[in-house]
Amino acid sequence: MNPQTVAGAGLLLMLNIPFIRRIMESDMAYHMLLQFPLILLAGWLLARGFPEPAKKWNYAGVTGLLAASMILMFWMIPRALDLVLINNTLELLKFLSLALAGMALAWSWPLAGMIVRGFFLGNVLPMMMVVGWLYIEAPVRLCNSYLSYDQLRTGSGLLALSIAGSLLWLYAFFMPSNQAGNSEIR
Amino acid sequence: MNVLNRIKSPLASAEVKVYAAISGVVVLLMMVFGLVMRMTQGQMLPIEPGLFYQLMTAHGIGMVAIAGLGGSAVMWHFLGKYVNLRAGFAWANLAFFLAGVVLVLGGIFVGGFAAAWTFLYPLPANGMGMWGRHAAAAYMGGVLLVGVGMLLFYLEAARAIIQQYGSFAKSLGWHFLKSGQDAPPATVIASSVVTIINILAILVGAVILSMMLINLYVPEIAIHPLLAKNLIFLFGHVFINSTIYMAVIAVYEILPQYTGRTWKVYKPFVWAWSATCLMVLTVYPHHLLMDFAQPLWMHIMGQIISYTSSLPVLALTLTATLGMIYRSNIKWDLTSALLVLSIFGWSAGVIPAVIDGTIAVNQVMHNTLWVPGHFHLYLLLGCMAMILAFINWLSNQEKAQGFSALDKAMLWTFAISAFTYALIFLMSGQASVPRRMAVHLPQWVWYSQAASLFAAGVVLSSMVIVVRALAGIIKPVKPA
Repeated sequence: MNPQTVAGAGLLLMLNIPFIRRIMESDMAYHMLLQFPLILLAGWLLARGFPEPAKKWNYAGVTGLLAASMILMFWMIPRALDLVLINNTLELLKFLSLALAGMALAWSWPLAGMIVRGFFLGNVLPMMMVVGWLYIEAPVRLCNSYLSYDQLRTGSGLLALSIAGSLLWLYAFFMPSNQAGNSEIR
Repeated sequence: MNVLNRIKSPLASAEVKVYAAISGVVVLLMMVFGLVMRMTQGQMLPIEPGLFYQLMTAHGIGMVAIAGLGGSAVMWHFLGKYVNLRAGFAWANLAFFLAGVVLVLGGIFVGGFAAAWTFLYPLPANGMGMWGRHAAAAYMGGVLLVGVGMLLFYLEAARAIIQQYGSFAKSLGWHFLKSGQDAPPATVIASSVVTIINILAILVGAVILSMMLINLYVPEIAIHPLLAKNLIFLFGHVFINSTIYMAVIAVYEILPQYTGRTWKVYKPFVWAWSATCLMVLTVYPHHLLMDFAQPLWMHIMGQIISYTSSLPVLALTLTATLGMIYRSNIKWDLTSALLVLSIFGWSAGVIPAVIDGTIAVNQVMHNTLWVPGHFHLYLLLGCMAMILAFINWLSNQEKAQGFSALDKAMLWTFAISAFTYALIFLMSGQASVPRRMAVHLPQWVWYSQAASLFAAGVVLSSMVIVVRALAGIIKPVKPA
């Protein structure tokens, strides 16, 4: 078996150990800014062991990136965060959907050219900024399970992540590349 | 590969002609709105203040959008000679643009939205009976759609530039600074700068527009007003600045064909554009010098960068233009004359901005007509003159033509009217006439009446130039 797949499966299992899950979900910032990216990473690694979907269903990575951005959008909703803490079925769905989003990213990113990637980032990064701002500015606690201070830290973290992501994206424009004619540029 | 070699050199493609034609028509309509506003302030037309502010909003956003579209036409046309651009993205941009315009106009003239083109928070959510939140949402949703189209346009430009040159570092000419070899063409350098700054500006615009749309329907989720103003001006100021940086490509590409000299790229030119790339993103705080809560360092940065932002590229373009013309036996026609005029408009238009960017002056001048004086000089006599020259050049099959008596009459009417029109704004500002007011005090009325006369001259001359150019674009004259 592909070592990356093993690592992905191992990471996913580790994140499901009740003790680790409890720690990560005890704090809103850990939940959104640590557990979510780790599940995405596990999905990305797992994707290596699965056959890629037919390219006609994922032309230039559009379907996969769209699916990933929709899944991410859903899990940024505070109500969804609250529900997974009290409903095991939803918790399972969260793990499955985020892992699937990671897999979709792994399959779609290499297929996507600059335009599709740019459009994906141009959607996800401002969305993270807006959600971060919402968490910071909301006059009430948005999640029953988390404190206002957690909400504030999560919002600030989302803002920081989106700014860092934007800078990285910009930096990539300046990196020397030998991309003429390969699939990176479409 | 020698990047100086053009990869293709066709006449204007269909999308460029459509962009140019739409720009010409909409500019005329927006100029008429401007004339109506000045005549209203001059008590020559019985327009209600509510309608005045709607016209003001439409004039502002319309001019910004159409300067963007006209500049995009210039950039797309000339950049396409060096890199491989795909027309589908220009059409997609146009589709988003037109859909956005429908929403914006609906918000303004059906919904009554009249919060000025800058849609400063929290005004859009507080129509006080003049407009509802759906009208504000239509306006902001429309601007968002225009932004989505423009993002596609610039992503395609970025893709094509990187495919051809390898990275933005190369297309900006940074390797040339070290080695002195293989300088990218001026068009590619300018297009790279515009692409970078506008992708960033559009993302920032998307954030603030989304935040304000949420706030419209969930007012409990407030936005920090100063943060909102910073984001709006970062988006809007960069976007409007970039229009002239796109349009100036017409000077770099067309003028050499009239003088028989090439527009050479030297190291200071590369330095200047790279510096502009940073400064144009950080100069906007000069619009917030009256906001006492703004951090002091941002005020200071706003003043310093106001002094330096326009100068590198402008100074080099100005001196290079003069050098290019000097003893060149330039062939004068409407296109070349408008291009040279545009460099004057750009240069002169920067001066009042630098004055207003001085904190001590800004405290008393910023909310007067001095500021419209600056941007009318800069945009009308600078950016618009470049776009009119480009449209005229397209209609002449991208060749020099004769300079008819009518051409000369329209050129001088445009130049004198536009300059005097902007000058009256500046004089009004000097007399402390406030801006964004439908009704003026009796002692201010004569300024507006005089301005109306020259605005009519601008409308008339532009109309003749645009209509004749459109005729040439739609039905080209076959070569004998």
